[in-house]
Amino acid sequence: MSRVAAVRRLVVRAPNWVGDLVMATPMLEALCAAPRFERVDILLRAHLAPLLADSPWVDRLVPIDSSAAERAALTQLAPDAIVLLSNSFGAAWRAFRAGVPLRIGSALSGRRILLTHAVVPPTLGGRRLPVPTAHLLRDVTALAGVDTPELRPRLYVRDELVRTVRAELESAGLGAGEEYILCCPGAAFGAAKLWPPEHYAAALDELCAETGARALVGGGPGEEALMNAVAGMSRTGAVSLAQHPRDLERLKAQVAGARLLLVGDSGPRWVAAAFDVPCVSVMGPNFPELTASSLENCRVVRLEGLECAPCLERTCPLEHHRCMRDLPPSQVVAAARELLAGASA
Amino acid sequence: MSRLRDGDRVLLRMPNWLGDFVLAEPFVNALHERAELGRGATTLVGSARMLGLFEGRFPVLERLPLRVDEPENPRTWRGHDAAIFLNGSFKSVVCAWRAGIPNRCGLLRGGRTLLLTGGGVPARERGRAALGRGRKGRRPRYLPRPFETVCQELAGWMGVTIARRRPLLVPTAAALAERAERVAEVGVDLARPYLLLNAAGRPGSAKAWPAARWLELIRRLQGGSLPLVVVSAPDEDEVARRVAAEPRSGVHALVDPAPELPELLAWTAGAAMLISVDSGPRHLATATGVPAVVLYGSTDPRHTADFLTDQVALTADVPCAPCHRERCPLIGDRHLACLDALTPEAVVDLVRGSPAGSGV
Repeated sequence: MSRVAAVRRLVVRAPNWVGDLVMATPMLEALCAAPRFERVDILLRAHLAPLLADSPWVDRLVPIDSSAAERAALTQLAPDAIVLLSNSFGAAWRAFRAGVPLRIGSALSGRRILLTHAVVPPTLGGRRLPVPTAHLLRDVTALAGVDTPELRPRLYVRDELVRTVRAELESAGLGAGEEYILCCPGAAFGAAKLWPPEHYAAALDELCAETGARALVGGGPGEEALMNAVAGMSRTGAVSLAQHPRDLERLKAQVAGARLLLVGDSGPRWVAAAFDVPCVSVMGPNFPELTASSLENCRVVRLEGLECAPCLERTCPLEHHRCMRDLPPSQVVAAARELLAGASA
Repeated sequence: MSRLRDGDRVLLRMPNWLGDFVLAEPFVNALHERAELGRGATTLVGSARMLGLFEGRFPVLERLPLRVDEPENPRTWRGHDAAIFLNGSFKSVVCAWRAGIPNRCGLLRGGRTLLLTGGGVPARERGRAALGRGRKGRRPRYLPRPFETVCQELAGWMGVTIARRRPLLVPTAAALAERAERVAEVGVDLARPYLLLNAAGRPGSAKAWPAARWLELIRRLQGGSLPLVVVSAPDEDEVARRVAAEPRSGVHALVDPAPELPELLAWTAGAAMLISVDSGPRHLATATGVPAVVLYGSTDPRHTADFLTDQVALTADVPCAPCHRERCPLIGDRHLACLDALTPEAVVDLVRGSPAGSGV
């Protein structure tokens, strides 16, 4: 029996971050559609499952809420192979401990020895070079014998939810039929990725004055203070959604209906890519090379020439946070103008 | 890493293979945008024949076309601050070093690593062979990856952002005129869409579908709603010549001469669909948005696994493939097993199963 025929049941361990999960959707789709596998299950953190609601593979989702639950799920599913789209050591370790025969993933986080099939990303002097995460996910998926047709993220949202969310936004203050610019200023990664709220407010004010659109400020759990701060500093009546229903499913509908998304280097950027919504992403401590995919409708704005950047730290170790504080709103506005001009051309 | 600085004059050594050349177009476009913004000039160095595909585009980029067998000349490369190598040649890197270009970047493979100042060691695969991919490669087992991926990453390490990933090529007015002339000769009705068959392949190559298979495919497709246009490369035109020698209604062969690249691009851009082996012309279809059915023999689909939403791959699940060899090392029943397993019936099914070929 060929190696391919021997793998009938496959588990895909999805990434743990919103952005990485959205980037992985083309690979999830390709793996679920591959005719060689009798069964494909997708293991993912339970709180991320709403992001994949309405997708064609929703019935393949196996939400997990702890390491013990993950190991138990693997034992019960007893797959022939696991594709690790999460780069964590823990995911590889649990697959190894659960006795999954073939473990396919990237050789990162010190887990090479736990893998039967591994991708070693490009290096220089023995150190990993930054490459787009989407490329790495595709490479790993290809080790399972499945090619990904394209890297454009795939998200789905039902019409009923779109209408519901629109109604919620209008009850929050958006005019009937009014266009809006959505701003998501938060960053679960850490404070180092936060652009100052006054900068967001200034950029939104200028863009709203130019476009006639309304500014809405959204975010995730725990980001209410930041959302309110941005809206409070706006002089054009930006509306904070802090007191309104918010979750990952609603985020999809909110982003899909926006004229523009203004966001940091965080998950909603990829939601915008999935729905072809123009997006300006403000980046500070991260390598732009790590997210250099789906740029057709996105502009990444960052401060060039800083010796300390990028640092990949969650909080600024030098305590000046210049990579974000010194990034002027005018640069963000210029990028947004370029995108909107291209969208209307 | 050796990121480009504002004002750096860049020399971009283009790939020598047609497919890679086409897939590098987004990188060229990004450098053109950089030059238009006044951030530094770029010179393209590459085959004159292939640079012709950019005729009429990238007006602010300089070109140093290389004729066949013309060596690279360090004197013409002087004055650049950085050289980026999209080809794999050691000689090109030596030329840049002799020209005094201080920043020399590319993939760090083989002996040229000693002369490169930046870039990266390519991604590798470890452990067992990828599922369904046949044999493991030889060490150090560089990971087969789409060339546009490599370009994107190399550009990123240099500080160049490639926003448009998909290659784009546009036939020139002259090429369209050449096509129109040829149409008059061979009698193709351009008012109807046509299927373009790239029946090329060096004799004995492990990428070349046998001529008998092509002729069988043509027999099965002819008489359908779409006429067939058969093209090939010079010296790889056995199928096209046999088609031309036995005229059939609705089947046209472009021979004597075989179309040059600009004309071939024009024919590709106007096709309803391309059927091709895994060779350079299939990337012309990618760059013109034309759907394609691609036959893989010895090559690994991972090398070209991008922009596949309008391309369908036909591969054979044989234990020895992909081996990525030019000549099949096996004998007897296993000789060219990867190509033997690709049947004309399967190709016809794929063509008819696609939106573009549903009327065939």
